[in-house]
Amino acid sequence: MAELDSIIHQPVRLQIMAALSELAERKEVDFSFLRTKLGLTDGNLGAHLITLEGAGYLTIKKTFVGRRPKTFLAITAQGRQAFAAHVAALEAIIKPGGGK
Amino acid sequence: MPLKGTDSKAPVCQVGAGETALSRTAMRHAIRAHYGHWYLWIWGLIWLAMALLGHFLGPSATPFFNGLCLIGITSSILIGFVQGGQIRAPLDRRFLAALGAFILFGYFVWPVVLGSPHRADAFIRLFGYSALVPMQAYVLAGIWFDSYLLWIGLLISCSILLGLFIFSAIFWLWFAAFAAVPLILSGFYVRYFMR
Repeated sequence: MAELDSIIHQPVRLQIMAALSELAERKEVDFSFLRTKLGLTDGNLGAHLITLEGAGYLTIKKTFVGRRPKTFLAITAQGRQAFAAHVAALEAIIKPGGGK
Repeated sequence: MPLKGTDSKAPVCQVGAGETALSRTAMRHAIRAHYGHWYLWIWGLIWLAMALLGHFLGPSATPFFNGLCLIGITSSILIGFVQGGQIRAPLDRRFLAALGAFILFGYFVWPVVLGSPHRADAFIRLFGYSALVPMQAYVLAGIWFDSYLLWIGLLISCSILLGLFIFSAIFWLWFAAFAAVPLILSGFYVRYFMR
């Protein structure tokens, strides 16, 4: 039986993982771009990213574009797998006849 | 369905699923906005303008061609810069090297070193050739990354060659209808229909 992942289950982290899982393999998204897309604040997004990074679900890469510091985020293979398993567990609960 | 630290599961799951769907949709839109359609639209429009100028002005359209190419190159660089700051992929240095070598050969070694044709239809042939080079770059990129680029490159290359060798009397109109317009349409396909 698939288990819900307590790290991903938190609503903001669920949004982050859902958004990042849409990226093709090896693609990275800019921190501020993701923040705008998800309607979050810097602090909120940053705190949840650290939790997800600690779990090995995403990578955070700090770099410079010209003179401006940029932070790029990418989902890891482990993160992709964990998110898929979490979604399967959610579906099992939500769908009629699921989770039997 | 166990989850540590969660009491009421079903409502939380449903809220979570709704948020997941929203953020996925937002990201899908964002990713879709980063496809290559802008380049296809810009260069398709530039080709269309060039074909019409070539049809009406003949070889005296060359200065306009240079200006249009400059606009295309500048806007392509700007789009690449903006998009690369939002969603990016690590640079594939081997592909860049292959593309660089190809462009160098296509635009410098072949026409400059080996010379351009000295025929009555040299203007049309040079234009057709300069349009074929980027289409071969599309083929190269298609082999490397994504098959839609390969098909666009192959189809438009065939169309240009047909225009040069079979329909040379109406080359400019042929080019506008069967190279420039398909390039613009392929941009719409990439933006709205490609999955």
